[in-house]
Amino acid sequence: MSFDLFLTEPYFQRVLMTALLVAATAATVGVFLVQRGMALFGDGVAHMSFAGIAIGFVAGWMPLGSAVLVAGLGALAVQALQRRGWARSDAALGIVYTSSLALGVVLVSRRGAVPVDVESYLFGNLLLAGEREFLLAAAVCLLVAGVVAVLWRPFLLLCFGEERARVQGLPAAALNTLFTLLTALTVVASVRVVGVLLVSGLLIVPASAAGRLARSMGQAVLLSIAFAVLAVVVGLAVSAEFSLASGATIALVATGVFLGTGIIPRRT
Amino acid sequence: MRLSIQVTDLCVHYGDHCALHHFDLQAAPGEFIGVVGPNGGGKTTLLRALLGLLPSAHGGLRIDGRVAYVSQDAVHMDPQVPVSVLEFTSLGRLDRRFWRRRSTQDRARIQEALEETGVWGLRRRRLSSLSGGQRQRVHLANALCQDARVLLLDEPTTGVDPKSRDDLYQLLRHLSRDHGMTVVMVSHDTESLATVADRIVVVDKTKRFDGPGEAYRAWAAASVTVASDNPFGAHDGPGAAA
Repeated sequence: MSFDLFLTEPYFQRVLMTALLVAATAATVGVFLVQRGMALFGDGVAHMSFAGIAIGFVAGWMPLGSAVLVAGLGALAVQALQRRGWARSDAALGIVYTSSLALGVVLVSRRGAVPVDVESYLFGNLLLAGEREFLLAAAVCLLVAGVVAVLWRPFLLLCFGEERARVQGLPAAALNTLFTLLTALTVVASVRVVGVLLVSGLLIVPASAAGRLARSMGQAVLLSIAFAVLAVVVGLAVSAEFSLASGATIALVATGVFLGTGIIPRRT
Repeated sequence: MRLSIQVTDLCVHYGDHCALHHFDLQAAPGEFIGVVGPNGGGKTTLLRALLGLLPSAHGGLRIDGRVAYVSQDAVHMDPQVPVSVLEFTSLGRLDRRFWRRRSTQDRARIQEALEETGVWGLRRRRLSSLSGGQRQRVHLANALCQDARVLLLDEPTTGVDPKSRDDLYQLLRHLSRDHGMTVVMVSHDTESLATVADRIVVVDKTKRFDGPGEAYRAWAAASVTVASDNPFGAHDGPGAAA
């Protein structure tokens, strides 16, 4: 298969557009996740979404719809465990995502319960992304862009700690919950592109590379989007040329970009 | 006269542990108060109670106007966030109406705060590229932007070189004298604080001393003498009830 198909054939053009929308959305949310020290939160939410996908298949619902629901509820459960003092944030994330993943595996392991290729959800298979995935990616991209544009400064303030936001009179808990739900939506929209296990390839790696070079948060988001788009285009081209798994190739290219930023001196 | 800070019979418990007990404090507008005391004595708890971050606090607590806070780890905690000096300072203008766009008045206030703290020339630099002293000034500019009447600082001189520390004290002195801002600063740098602050308050679960720097020096010297005779009564020396 040649990369030219992505530029000429309508079906493949839509696939490419889906991937680019997801890349831009994940790269934007990822910058705030990384700067808030929540890099693995996105990864955890992706694992939670697997339970939603499995529930969707078993119950006959749209898998990505139930994934949004379970990932959102799981992300809020992590917050609740942490706020009530039941577990530290990293432990709470570990507890919720392990149990969600386990639930997904148990449901999938029932003989004949899931008649689809689970692997495509775990590792991504962009070529299976249809109109529904495109619409989901476009809707999530618009929503994230709108919310981040309006709440840019409050979200930036949260990077310096929730307490600082509370002291200044902002509803830190509500803003945090909103951000958590945006993360869950972004992760679910990314699942078709890079898969549950490789979501960090778009969410965290480009944002980390951008964070090294940027002088301001605005620059960080723009650079992160540029790196994620680069990873998607190069990853798709390489995977098409050599018949490789697209999600994994995109994640590896993103890592290459991150390592490549090491040769560029940090800006002051 | 209307007080900036009025704390009456404040008690804070963390479970069974008593962090502050029957604590009183009054501060007038423009006063610079240095808070000192042993580790675990309740200094940071006092600041957190003043910030309204401790729902478990009991007693009377009234603050006149807005409060700004420069935390203990302000210099060390945020070096990785890719934020410019201007961007960070402008966050000080955020309040309950956080969705509104920045006004011309906001921009003027941000510039004024950056100029006042001497970091206007650094506004395009990344915060993490600044020295500890410069970063501390940017945090003060952020606090100034909040139009706060009370400024609380927790160990702001930790990790800052002596020249920058002295400059910081001068700036705080200027803010309290010329802007009428009430400054409450927790520090272990008791010698410098005794010189620059209007009053020193010693906190060790409760208030052990409250008075001017000179009186504090005499009280501290007497406490050391008593402590050498009775090592368990270091804070029960003269002036304890001052």
